[in-house]
Amino acid sequence: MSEVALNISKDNLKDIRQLYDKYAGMLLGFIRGSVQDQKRSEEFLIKIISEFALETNGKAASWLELRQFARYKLIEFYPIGNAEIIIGNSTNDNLNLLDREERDVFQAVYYQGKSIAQLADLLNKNENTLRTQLKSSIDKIRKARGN
Amino acid sequence: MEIKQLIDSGLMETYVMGVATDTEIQQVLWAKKQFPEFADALTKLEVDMEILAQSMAVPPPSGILSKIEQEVNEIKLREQNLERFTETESRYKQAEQEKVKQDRYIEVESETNQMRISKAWRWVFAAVFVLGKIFLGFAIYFYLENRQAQEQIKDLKIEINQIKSIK
Repeated sequence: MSEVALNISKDNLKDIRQLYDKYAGMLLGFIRGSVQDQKRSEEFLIKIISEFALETNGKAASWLELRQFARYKLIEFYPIGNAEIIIGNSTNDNLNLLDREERDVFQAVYYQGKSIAQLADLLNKNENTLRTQLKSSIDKIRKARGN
Repeated sequence: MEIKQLIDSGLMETYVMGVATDTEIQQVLWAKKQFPEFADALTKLEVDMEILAQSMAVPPPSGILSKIEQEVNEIKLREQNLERFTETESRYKQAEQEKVKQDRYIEVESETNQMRISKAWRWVFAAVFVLGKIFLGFAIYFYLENRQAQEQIKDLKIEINQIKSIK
């Protein structure tokens, strides 16, 4: 599509491209892990980056802010019941470092935004145990990456 | 709670994962302000989470960027149309309010004792006024004439009676 046909200023286009170059791949990875559907993930990626670009209006934003924005948007676009955990089979090297329980906790928190209290209810586990499992899963990945 | 315990508690992890409760968020912000060691560990964790996300990135297929630009364009157009619609609606509402105000004004005026009539009526009123004066003049004149005639008749009757008594 030519730029002439668009009703967006050059500055806005620049901001969108910067946001896209920096975060589109990371965001698609995150959405893909949450939605488990390639086509829908791409549709949500388009919507989320567009809305985030308009909301931040060129102001610098961190990955954590974008991920949190995406999480809220995904709840709106693709609601998952509170009593549901979607666990996908991971082909990701980082997640394969974790044992089954750690991976389930990590995926439920990271991709689905489940709180520790919700998880404790769902898995019938102690909140402190879950907090420790989450921490140990992140530590394992960080150590494996040399951080 | 010691700083080491606080770092090992998993509090930072729930915060960075975006699932911390309000109380936990307050605790993290407090600890970040109070302990530089905690603030450093938190920053490091945030950077590591970004690196982790990079390692789990999925390259978007070609054409996604132009679709995003198209989507932003459409959202902006929708917002502009909505703005225009809201503007038109508010103008219409303003006009309606003006009309209501006007209606009220007319209602208030209709309750006064004054009335408006065509200027042509002034000649009719002038003619009625002049004719009224003329009739009044005639009425006074004939009244006086009549009274004088009555007095003369009375005098004549007295005279006749006197003549009769002399005879």
